[in-house]
Amino acid sequence: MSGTRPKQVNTIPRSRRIGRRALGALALVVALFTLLVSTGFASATTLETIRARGKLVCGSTDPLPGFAQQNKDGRWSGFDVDFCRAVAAAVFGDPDKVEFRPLSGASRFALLQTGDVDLLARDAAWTMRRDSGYGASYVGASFFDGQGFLVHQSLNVVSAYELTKVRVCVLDGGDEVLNVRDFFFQNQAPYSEVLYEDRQDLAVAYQAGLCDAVSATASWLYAMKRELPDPANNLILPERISKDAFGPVVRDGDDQWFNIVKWTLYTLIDAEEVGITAANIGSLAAAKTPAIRRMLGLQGTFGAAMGLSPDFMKNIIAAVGNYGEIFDRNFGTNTGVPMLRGQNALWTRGGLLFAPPVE
Amino acid sequence: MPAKSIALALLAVVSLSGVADADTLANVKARGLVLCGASPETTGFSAVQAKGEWTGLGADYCKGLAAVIFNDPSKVQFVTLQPDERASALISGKIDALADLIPWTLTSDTEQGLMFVGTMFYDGQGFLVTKASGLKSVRDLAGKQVCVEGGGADEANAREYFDANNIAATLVPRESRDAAVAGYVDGTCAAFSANSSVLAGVRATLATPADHAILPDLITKEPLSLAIRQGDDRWFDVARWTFFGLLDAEELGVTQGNVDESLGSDNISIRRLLGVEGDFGGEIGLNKDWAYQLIKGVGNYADLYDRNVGDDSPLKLPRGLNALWNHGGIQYSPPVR
Repeated sequence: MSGTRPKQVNTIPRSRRIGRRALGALALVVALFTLLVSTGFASATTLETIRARGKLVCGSTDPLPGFAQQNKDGRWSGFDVDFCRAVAAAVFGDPDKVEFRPLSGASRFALLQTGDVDLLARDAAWTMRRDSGYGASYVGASFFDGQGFLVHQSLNVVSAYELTKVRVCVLDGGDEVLNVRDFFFQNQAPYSEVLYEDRQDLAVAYQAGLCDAVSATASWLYAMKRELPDPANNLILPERISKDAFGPVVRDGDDQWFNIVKWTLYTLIDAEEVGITAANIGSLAAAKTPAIRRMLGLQGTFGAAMGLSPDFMKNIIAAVGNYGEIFDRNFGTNTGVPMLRGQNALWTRGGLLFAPPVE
Repeated sequence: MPAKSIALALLAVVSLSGVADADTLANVKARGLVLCGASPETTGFSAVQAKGEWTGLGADYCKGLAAVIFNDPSKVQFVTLQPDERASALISGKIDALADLIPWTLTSDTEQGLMFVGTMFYDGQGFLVTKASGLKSVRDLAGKQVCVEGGGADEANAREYFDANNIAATLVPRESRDAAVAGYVDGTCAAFSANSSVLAGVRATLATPADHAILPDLITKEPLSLAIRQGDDRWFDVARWTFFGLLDAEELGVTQGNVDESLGSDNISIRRLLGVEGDFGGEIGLNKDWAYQLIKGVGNYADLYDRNVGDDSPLKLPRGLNALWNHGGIQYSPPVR
């Protein structure tokens, strides 16, 4: 195109050239404006885009049992899925106005940047690189985790410090294998590594008896354990040899949306702390406790500054329950493979979950 | 030509009015100084000027910002503000960050244009009592008088808590905090109630601080937090990771005292933090040794805590919730990697 353009200019009568230049300038102005719009200066906000579309688009992990899975009717469920529904409830008052898009590892941040998804419900663990690069930010931690070991009961160990002369399945090329090396070196215990590149392969190898233990972030181990034919005969040892925090991620450039997703998470945590549940929310209209009344929209006005209705917190809790209810639904005894709250208990109960108050 | 100059002029106007101003880090670098708003209020927490130098958790954090940007913690200028000017000073660009810690709530987070960076001190409302009284918990306040500043949150919170927990304490609201303290000192009240940060400051001014104790129970949560303005993601990253760097350094045992020898550590996490391995600062406009400069300049979180509000300060506040997550508290930061 640039090659043909000079010829065209020469064919234009001199009297019209200025007009053409002015047009060019206009085009430049338009382009400049478009640039501003596309950088978020005057564009439709994420909230407006979602409202116009009529649904939230949520990127979630490629099926990870307990966190995100699809039943045979195609309905999604899981801890991360419930968080997406909570955001849909905050925006629309309807937890079903959401589309789930399972993402593989490679495409997760780009689809967020391009606007194909509105948020990532769960992704790689929160690190400085992921928080500051890729034009995205973690709104906060919704799940505290760390690298552990999954072993069969027949190994007769209850602590990672008892592991010796074992074959450990672990992902190659990342921090996981370095953490394993550090651990066994510090513990002065002999072991051997069985390396794979894919999470699914770890489970296959472990089940086939190619290794005695799998080392990975504990939520992966939990998901793996759920898929085993005999989960009760396998255990995740209590030690954690790394710290990993997972949480919702949004793209940069829209602090209103950052705040909406952040306060959806905080609402779930605060609701558990003050004792509002999906089960009791209908009977709390006469509650006297100010902290409860504020969350239910009965006292004060919250939400308008974020473009949400004053009952957004009530809608969230009524739709998916509080953090503890979500945890129990997806990881509780009803699943047959219960997970301890551990670090994911409230700060008032020995855990790390804390949210600023609704005031 | 005129059209082109119009376009250029437009570009210049646009740059001046919006886009360039949104790049706080570039402005700070061009100015050669970080501007931090300070409205001296509470010793140890907000910035206070003593002997010509600004101190406090938030003031040290501002010096930390200067250290990561300029390799020099002294490249910060404190701008004195009234508390009600904080948000407007941030939004207008008069300052880059606050040296005061702000209670993080849904309202303060969404209605003032502030962007919270992290919680520097988990505070809450508590009770100051004399050790001689033998009072050990809030329940022991039944039948006692409790002095409190009247008309505000302190009174409302205490009333709500006593009601909800059926504790028959008598609240004695006074017209000011000083008057409430006076009621405690003259023996009218067995306890004085306010945020623990305030109680520690009051205790330090009493005749014999060691004769007074803060009860372990806190009846509210008040996350005293660092804030910048909305609308600048890179500055948010700089501010957030400066805070996280303080916490990561404490967790990895890197202190102001040993940061130079830590450069030779074999620990991969320490090597990454200090920029010996990899470059984690470049993405946000910092040098790869940003955290080394931070810790060299102001220390790690424990250094800041001990110096300003902990054992090495007159406040002598225990770490409590502000201990690291792996030491019984809830201070937690994602890793530098």
